[in-house]
Amino acid sequence: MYNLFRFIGFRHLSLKPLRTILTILGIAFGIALFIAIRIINHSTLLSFEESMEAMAGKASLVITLGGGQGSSGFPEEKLSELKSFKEIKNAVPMVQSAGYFTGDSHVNESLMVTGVDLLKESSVRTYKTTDSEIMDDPFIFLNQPDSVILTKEFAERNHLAIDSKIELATSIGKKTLTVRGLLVPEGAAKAYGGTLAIMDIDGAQVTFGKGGKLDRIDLVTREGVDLDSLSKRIVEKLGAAYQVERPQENSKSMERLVKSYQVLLSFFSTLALLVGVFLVANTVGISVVERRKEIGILRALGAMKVSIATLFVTEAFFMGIIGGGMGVFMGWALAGKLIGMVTRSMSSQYVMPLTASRIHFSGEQFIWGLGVGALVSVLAALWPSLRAASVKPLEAMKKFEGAQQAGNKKIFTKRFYVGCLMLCYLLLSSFGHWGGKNYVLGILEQGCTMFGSALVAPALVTILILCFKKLFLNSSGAVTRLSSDNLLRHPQRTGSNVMTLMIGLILVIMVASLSKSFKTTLNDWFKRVLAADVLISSSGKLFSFQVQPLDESLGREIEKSLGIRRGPLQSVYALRFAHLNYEGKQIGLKAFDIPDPHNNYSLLDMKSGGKATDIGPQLFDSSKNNVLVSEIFVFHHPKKPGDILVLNTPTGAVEFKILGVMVDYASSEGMVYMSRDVYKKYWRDNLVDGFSLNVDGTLSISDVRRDIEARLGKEKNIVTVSQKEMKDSIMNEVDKSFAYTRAIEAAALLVAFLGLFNTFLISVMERTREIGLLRAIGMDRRQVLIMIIQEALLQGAFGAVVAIVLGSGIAYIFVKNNLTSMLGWIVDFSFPWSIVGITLLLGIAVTILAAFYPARHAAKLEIREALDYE
Amino acid sequence: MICKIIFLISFSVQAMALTADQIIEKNETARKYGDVTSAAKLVTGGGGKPERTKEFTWWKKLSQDKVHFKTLTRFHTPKEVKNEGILFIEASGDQTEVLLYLPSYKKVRRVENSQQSGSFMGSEFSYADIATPHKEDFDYKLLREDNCPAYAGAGLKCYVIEYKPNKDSVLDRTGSAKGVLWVRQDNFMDVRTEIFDLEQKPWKIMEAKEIKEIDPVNKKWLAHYLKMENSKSGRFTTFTLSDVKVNKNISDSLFTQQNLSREE
Repeated sequence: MYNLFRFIGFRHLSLKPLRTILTILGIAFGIALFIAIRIINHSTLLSFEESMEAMAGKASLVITLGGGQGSSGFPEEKLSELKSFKEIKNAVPMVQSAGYFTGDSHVNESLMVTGVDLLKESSVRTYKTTDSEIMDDPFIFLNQPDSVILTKEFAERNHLAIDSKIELATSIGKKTLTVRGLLVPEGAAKAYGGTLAIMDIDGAQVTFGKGGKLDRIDLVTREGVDLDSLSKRIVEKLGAAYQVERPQENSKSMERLVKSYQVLLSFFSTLALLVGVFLVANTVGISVVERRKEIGILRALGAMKVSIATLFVTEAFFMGIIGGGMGVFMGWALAGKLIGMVTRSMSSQYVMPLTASRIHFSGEQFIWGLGVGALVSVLAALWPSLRAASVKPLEAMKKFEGAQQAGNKKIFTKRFYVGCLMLCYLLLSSFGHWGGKNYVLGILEQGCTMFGSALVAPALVTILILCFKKLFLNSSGAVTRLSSDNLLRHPQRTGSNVMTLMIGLILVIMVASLSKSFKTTLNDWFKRVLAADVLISSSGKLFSFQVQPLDESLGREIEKSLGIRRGPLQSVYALRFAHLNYEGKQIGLKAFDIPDPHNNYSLLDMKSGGKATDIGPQLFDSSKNNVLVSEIFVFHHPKKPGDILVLNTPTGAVEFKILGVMVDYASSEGMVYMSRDVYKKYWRDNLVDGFSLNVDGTLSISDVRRDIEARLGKEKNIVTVSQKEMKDSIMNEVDKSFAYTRAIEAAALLVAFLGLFNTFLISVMERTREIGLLRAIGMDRRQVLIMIIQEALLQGAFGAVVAIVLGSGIAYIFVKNNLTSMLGWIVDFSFPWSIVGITLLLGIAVTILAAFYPARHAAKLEIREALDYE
Repeated sequence: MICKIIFLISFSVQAMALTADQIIEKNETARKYGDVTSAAKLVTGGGGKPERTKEFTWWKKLSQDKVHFKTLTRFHTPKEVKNEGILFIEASGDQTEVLLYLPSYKKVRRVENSQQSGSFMGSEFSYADIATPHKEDFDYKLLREDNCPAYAGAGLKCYVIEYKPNKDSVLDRTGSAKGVLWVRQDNFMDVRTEIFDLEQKPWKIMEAKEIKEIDPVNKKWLAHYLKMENSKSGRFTTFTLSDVKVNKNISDSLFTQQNLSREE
């Protein structure tokens, strides 16, 4: 077997260097994207895990209110309630708040400020400093509320040193802090990728307006303690709203939260890998056709069927290993470029700061990449290899053209039926959400998406060419007629080209459809619910609630501005966003002030339960515990209007009546809405994330904004945005979220180009004799060139049309059925009209580019040489 | 780690016959005075950093158990630490309580045992260095007899004793795996302590100077000048006492949390 590969397989690969290199490159690109996404997913989770571990230190349990970032915390008296637990060796309190560093050039740099009891801290966490001690002078540090310790990395990046002053946006305005210590990135300082600041707990409480409140308590327990039992007893003592978890559970819940996003990333990267698989299958398939005679001779000389199949599989394996190896390194480099983009997008979506401090690339991933490259290549080569093995020696010796023609039509029809079956499976799988239930079924669904479209497409393109021929036969010239005839006479060849093109274009259409659907849905939603003229928050991203919460009293300051439409109770309306745990999942909570009566409760985009104007007064009746839930909440937790929802609040478990279901896109895990008065009653939280207001027309929106910013902007570190700016920034964010898919599209198109180049080259070689004949009967070189380019043009244009139809059809099914379970968003499908033209142009451009060199090669053929070609 | 704010003792004793434990007992006795009030100055420098000075008043009193001390420190300068106070209430079984008063927050905070190996007031002394060491926390071994360091006085002889924490909690509190103590044979006051870190590498050296007999009747001694040098950071701290008043019957109410939070 080794000799067979050495003398025949390897020789064949080296004799066709261009094709071999193109195929290897195709695999490499597929693997690169696949590995890059894998590295990004792994690195993001690992960084989060490292952050959590570093922050947890020696703690075996962590107590939180389950409110996540931006929570207003819980009373510090809870710490003393823990004294009765003898199993607890140390209970170390913590205050955490994302501050926004407001240096001139870093307006939005988020800094995780952690307030810890530095006199207890070493019992749970360790810090290593640039000096021997964590604080330059502990006595000064502890007694000065403005003392802060930064990581060395953050300080260097922002040109800060000991005694430097930094300004942070906090809930009670801008605060100036003094750097009194620098940490090297070890221990807890590794958390949050180094964007961590340490304050003493008293200082942090003062700075962030959290006097008497804590966000977390780390527990160091004695040896041999049953942590599950202890956790239960602590929850019984503190109240059901409190969450007592092992630190590693925090990472797991994060993993669960971002899983859907990572599944989407993996979905696209697997599609890109499948493009590579297709390229291998195509190359081996062409090779089998091309070497039919050689196979016949080998069989006649006694080569077993299995040896023939193994020969082709080994060739694919060889290319897979090389492509896989190259792909791993390309993926590593690509991950470095994409990781920032992806984590920013995830941070926006999950409303929490996510960073990947470094790329985690291991030997295991290298081996994995090699393995996947080899495996997919072998799998891709399996079918064509079996076909090669089934060639009978006598048939192989017959005249090639005739045998090929006979088999072509059968294969062509079979392919169409198999493709139809695959698309039917896709439909069923999508409706039944099978892909989300099992990894293998997920891959199968993706395979059916790609290969189903690719197999069905040639027949559809053939129909289009037939129509074209009928419509334009008389008006077109001889060369055009010849081109369309050529395509129809050789369905196998045309099919290969169309399938290759389809694989690339289908991804472009799917990504465009998804992106457009997201944008349109969000845009429409905002049009319905966003009635305010001006929105006010601390600097950051209000739409994803990545802002520093503000004190509600700021609303009264804003109300003093002129030109604001006055309401009966208030003129500026606050919104609070918080996280809470419901049945083990982190859901969102939005609490609104009673809205401006002029807006007719437009912020309530009701799906069921009644009209917003009927529901609104009941929801904002602060004497009743009424809530609304989002439709995605209902998707995850089957509830209906009239049902009772029990929420764990800091003041205990409270029953709320569900008035209705509304549309919301702020949390993929579900959202609960209530009046802010009710929220304050049970959550004891006076912080808000933003304010909204309408102008009364006496002053323009810009004038009102200017006045607010001039009076309060600098002092309170607040910014104002108009409704339009808010919408634009959201659309911009959606674009950014899909930015990484450009790389996937580019890789898919590149692979398609390589595949097309390959198949065109083969088809020109196959037709050498035919081209010679055409030249002999009078066709000049230019006409040969035009004929082949026209063939490419027809395949490109019709292939693109079919890709648009199939791609948007699949995207429709995906958006309607898969996206909710995958991402947690219920999105309306929008057809990406703008991309139609681009796809057509791309299809034509890719095909013509791929065909140009083979066409020129064909045009240059000498008649005698071409006629002699066997 | 041991022997910190050292208080001298003296003489008598049949030196040659003494074991390490007996020497340490005599060392404890020599510095076990009734009470002391003093002005104090703490100067930290070296390591390429600017020198920092803190001034404070210092009260120390032997508890009713005649074993442990209570110490109150009240800061006056610099202004950032004015009115800050530290109260040490020593107790057996690692129950020593260290309370810190922060005037900015009008709040008393407890310094955990595990934190006591950390810096005291940003100096090269740790809280554990400042607290009075007790014999029951360590195992002692007499290494040799030797000439005392020159600064202790010409011709003086010293016992050189190695000590090691005998409990993990002491190890945690002191952050030191062992130390070597130089105890004068004439008055049993320690004049030099070599402190090793947890990896048994040289860490700090404390020198006690100006050892004066503050209670001749009861033969009690006190070092008026201590210098701690950190061989890792290259920094040093000096601790100087002045205006020392002895046995003035300081009230126990001075050493309470309530008094700690009382500002000037």
